[in-house]
Amino acid sequence: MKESELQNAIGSLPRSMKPPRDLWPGIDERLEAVARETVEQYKAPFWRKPAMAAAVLMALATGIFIGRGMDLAPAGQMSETVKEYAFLGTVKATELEYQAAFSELVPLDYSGLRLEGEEPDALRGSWEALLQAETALLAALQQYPSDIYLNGKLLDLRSQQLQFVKQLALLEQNNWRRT
Amino acid sequence: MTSWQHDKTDLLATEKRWVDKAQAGDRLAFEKLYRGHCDRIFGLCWRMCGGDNALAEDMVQEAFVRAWNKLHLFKGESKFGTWLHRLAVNVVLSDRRIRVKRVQREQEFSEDIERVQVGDRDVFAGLRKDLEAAISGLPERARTVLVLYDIEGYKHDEIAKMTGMAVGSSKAQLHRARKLVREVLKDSENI
Repeated sequence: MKESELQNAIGSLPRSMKPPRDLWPGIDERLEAVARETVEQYKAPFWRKPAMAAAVLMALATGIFIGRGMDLAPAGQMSETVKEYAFLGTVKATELEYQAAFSELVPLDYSGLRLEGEEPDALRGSWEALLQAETALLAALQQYPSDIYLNGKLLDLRSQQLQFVKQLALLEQNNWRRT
Repeated sequence: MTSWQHDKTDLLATEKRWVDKAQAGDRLAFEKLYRGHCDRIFGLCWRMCGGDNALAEDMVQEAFVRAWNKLHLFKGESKFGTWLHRLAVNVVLSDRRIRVKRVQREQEFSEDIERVQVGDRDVFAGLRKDLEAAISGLPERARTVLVLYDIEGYKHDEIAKMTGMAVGSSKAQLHRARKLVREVLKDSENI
């Protein structure tokens, strides 16, 4: 067979071929899954955003009341549920404070601080220990988000971390002044 | 304007309406697009998959799902069929199973060209059947270039872009593919 004949023969092969079965049901099924995913993605912010906003507002309000030492009602008269809410609000407020402080710490790069005489390794060790405790606590809280004991522990831990972060910031400031 | 041109214009206008509706999320309109193009896309996938029906079916489904997901990117600068065709080529080229097969085939392929059964049904007669068998049995890269150039009408620079090979390699693969096909056909004539 000549080259041109071969090319003609190949070129004349039909481009279209009927699939052995209807493939649309399979495609439709997958498109349905895509549609469901999209709907879920759109749905999520619908309730998530107001919920987050409510949580932040509650945390702020609780933080303000507690910070001012105001009692909404005599402790004895406060129902357990209200106490629980107030406590969880405090946890959330502390969490926000910690996140804000931590975001300031990150640019400080505590690991590379020029802390002469402050033993950076010891500092790093303390921080790592706090982080390990944080990881374990957060994992437990994912399973039991409303557990009072765990939230209390988180509150303690966040206080320690906040203190640590503030000390570091102070040390960095002093160190910067010295240099 | 001839009646044939009229029909074509009508078809394109209808297709454009379906595309618009599908872009707005109408799955029935997308099904119409599928019905209009599935044979063409299956033919392409089947040949590029070396006559593997199951793999070709997977590729067609993947191509249409991807087309649905990327439909918002279709701006109507080319025909929908052209856009879909190119997308299907990319789907086949990027499929891992085919890449794995390609490596295996290239390694196994020696001077002997294996004869591959064409599909499940014996729908091709005479030369066409032998040709399809010869094309199916080609090494992956050679087959890809031959299918895209000789059957689908792509140019070498387009093939080079899609496959990531140099234009020269595309030409060389085409030359190799045609030579191998001719050898297979010669063998089958001698049997």
